[in-house]
Amino acid sequence: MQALAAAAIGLLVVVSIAVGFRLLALHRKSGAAPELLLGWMLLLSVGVGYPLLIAADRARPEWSGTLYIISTLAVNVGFSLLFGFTWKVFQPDARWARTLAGAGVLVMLAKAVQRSFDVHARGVIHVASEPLSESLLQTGPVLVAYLWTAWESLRYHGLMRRRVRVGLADATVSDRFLLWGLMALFVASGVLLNAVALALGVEVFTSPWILLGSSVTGLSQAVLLVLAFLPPRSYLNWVRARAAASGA
Amino acid sequence: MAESAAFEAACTCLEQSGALDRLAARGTIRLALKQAGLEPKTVSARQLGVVLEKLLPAELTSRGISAPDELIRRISKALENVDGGARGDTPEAIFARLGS
Repeated sequence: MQALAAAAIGLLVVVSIAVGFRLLALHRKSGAAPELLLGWMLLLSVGVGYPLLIAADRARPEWSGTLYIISTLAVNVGFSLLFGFTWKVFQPDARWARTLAGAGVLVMLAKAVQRSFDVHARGVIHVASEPLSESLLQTGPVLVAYLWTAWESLRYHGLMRRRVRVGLADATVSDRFLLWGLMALFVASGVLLNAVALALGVEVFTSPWILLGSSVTGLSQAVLLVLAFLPPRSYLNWVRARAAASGA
Repeated sequence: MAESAAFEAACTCLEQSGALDRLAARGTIRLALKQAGLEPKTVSARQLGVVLEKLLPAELTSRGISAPDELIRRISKALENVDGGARGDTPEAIFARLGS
């Protein structure tokens, strides 16, 4: 089971790095903020943060603290960028969204700094042995960021489906909102699964059920990311054909 | 944020035609936009043009306007004087770019 989980996380990391670099390349051409925010978010949180977090848990004590600090900073800065992406793309004019995004960024960054100081003062912190209140302060904002992202993206997909029906939108763009919304839901499920496991005192790196859950959510995220941002031509043709068959 | 210029122009034209009062005119166009997955705040003149052609005739007929064609033509003409209307970087434009 550990091999399956490792393969799933490995695939997710590789896909996130590929999509992240692709979006940053797109930003060089367009100069627009959304691709910059999403590109760095994927590179930092998944491309750098996840592997280093796992490495920190297994590394020799003299390396563990440093790896843990770098991974925490990468993950939390990455998820802060997700708050920025969702605000900028879906609700750029709404004051509540700016406040929510600002609060999310502040909590994520404060938590990263606090964890770094803790490691500096107390030595290595193992995620599984962190107090529940501390753990919730980390996973809570991440969960909020992804659930907000899922809500906005799936809501917009609903609008796009109707636009496709009257010939006002491209079916593949409508589908991209669905894929990104589902991706966010899978991440939220994974975060929730791990949070519950930690609260129940389950060892997240060795429990077969948690590893199976992490494998399923990790593989799903990887597939959805590819279909959304690196779609094969055959997939796009299939989406267009399906929309045409349904009368759009 | 206020409604888009295209939405306001279409509502004003429909109201001034005398077929519907202000509240009914705005409600009718809102319903047609909703069916097309569009929002009054961001709808552009081009998008409203498609709604006029494909959805508004049925909405007007259901409100007792027996021959809505002349009305639709008048609203279309009013929209010609409205510029683009939609925000530059809409979620749709961004997601189209991200997968291109």
